[in-house]
Amino acid sequence: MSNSFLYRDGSSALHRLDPGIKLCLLAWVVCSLFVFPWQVLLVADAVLLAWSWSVQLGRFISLRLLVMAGPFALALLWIHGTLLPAADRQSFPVLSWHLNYSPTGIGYALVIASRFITLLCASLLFVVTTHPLALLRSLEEMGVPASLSYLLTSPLLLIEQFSRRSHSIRDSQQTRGMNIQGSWLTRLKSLPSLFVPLVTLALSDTGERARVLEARGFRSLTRQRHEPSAEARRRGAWRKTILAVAVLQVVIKLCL
Amino acid sequence: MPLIDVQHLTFAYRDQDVLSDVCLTLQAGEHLAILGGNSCGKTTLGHWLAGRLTRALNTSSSGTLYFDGRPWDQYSSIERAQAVQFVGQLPEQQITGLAYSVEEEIAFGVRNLGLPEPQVRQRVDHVLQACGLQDLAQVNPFNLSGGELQRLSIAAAMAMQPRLLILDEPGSNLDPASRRRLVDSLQQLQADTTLILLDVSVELAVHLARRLTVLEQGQLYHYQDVDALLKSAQSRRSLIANPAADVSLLLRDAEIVADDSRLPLTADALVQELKEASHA
Repeated sequence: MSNSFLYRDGSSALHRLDPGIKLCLLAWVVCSLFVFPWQVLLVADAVLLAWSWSVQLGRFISLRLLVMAGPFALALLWIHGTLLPAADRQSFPVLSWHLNYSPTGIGYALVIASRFITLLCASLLFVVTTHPLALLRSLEEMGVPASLSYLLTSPLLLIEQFSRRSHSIRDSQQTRGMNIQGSWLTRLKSLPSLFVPLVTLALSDTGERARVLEARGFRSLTRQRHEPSAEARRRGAWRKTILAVAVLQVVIKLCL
Repeated sequence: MPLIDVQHLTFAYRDQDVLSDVCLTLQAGEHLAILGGNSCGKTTLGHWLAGRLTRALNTSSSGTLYFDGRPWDQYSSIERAQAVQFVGQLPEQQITGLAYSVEEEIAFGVRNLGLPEPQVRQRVDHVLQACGLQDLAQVNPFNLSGGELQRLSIAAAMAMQPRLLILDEPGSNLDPASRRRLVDSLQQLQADTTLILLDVSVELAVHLARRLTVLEQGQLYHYQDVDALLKSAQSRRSLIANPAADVSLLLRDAEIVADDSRLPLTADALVQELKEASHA
C-alpha cells in the first residue's frame, strides 16, 4: 500500500488496528466531546499529537490541524471573548492599550474550540492511518451493504483524482487564455468556468465507474458467503464494546 | 450453442440510428475484430455485446441478443462479472478507484469472485507479467500515464478470466513496444476465451483476430480473412492507413503484381513481393 492525498503508509499500532474498530473509537471520541471538560480534551489532543510525531505523522497532521483549526479557534476566542456582550467584562492592559475580554466568553470559546480540535485531530489520525480499501473491507465484514460502504469510502478514494482533474482543467483553460491569476475578483470570476466542467466530468465519470465496479463483481454475494473467522468475531466483540462504552458515558452524563 | 447470438439487432439513440439489422454469432474461443471508422457504432455494439445496454431506456427497437442461450438481463451481477469484461477507450475511467496500487487494482475484482488468496495472487502475478506491469505493481494507479493505465485496465479485465473479453481500441494509447506486448499477452489467453476487438485500424486485428467484420452505417460486413477485408472497397475507404498495404493494393490494381498472393502489410514484405514480381 502506498501514500495518497490523505493516507500515509506505515506500520504503527493505529495502522495495524482494524478500520472498523478505529471507526468505533472515532464514534467514542465524538461522544466524549460532550462528556469531558475542555482541559481533558486539550490534554488528549496533546497526547495524540505527541504520538503522531513519534510515528512520523506529526508534521503532516500538525500542519493540517493548524491550517484547518487555527483560524477557527482564533475567531471563536476573538468573537466570544471580546466582541459579544457579556456581564463579566474585564480589562487587561496590553502595552498602552486595554483589552476588554469576558472570561465566560473565553471559557465558552475554549469548550467549542477544544471539541473541534479533538474531533479534527481524531479524524485526521483515522484517515491518515486507514487505507480506504481496508475500511471498505471492514465495513463489509460489519455487514454494511457494498453500495453504502462505497458511498462512505469514495470521498477518501476519489479526492486525489478529483484534485488532479481540477488541476488539468485549470491548466487547459490557462493555455487557452483564461486568466486565473491576479486579484481575488479575477480568480472569483474564473471559478465557475473551473467548477462547472469539474462537476460535469465527475458526474460522467460516476456512471462509467459504476459500470466498472459492477463488472468487477463489486456487489457480488460471494464475499459474504464465508463464515466469520474467530479473528473477525473478536473484532466484532471489540467494536460492540467500544460502542457500548461510548453510549454508556453519554447516558451517565445525561443522568448526572 | 453459440456463445453469442445476435439476431437482427436494431438500435438508435433517440432519432440517430446506430445499429441496423445486425446479425452475429460467435462460438466460444473465437477471436473477432469489429472494425470501423470513428462514430460508426463500434462502442455501442460492444456495449450491447457486453450486456451494458439492457436497461429500459436503452431497449433495442428490434432484435435479440443471447449470451450462452440467455439474454443479458437474466444474468446476475456476479454471473456477468465472470462472463464478460469490457475495456473501454478511456483508461482513466476503467479503474475502480478502490485501490492505491496497481496490484490491488488487479486483485480487487478477482477477490470479489471469492477465490482463495493463493489463487488471487497467482492470477495477479500472471497478468502483471503478461502486461509488463511488474515494475509498476506498487505504484498508485492515479500516477500512471495513459498507456500504463490502458495496460492496467486490460490486465484487470484479463485477471477476471472472463469467457468473453471485449477490448475497445486497446492500442490507442500504447507505444509500439507496448502494442507488441499486448498482442503477445492476448495471444496467451485461454483457448476457450472469446475475444472481440473493436478498432479503427487493422493493425492489431491482423495479429489477434481470426474473423473480421467491418461496421459501416450500422451494418456488419463479414470477411473471411485479412486479404478479403483489405481488398474490399468497403474497408479501403475507412480502414487502410498502412502505407505498405496501400501501395500494394495500387500495384495490384495496376496488375503489376499478381492478385493471388497474400497482401504485404510491412515495408519488408512489400519489397520482397516486388522482388518476386521482378524475377517473374
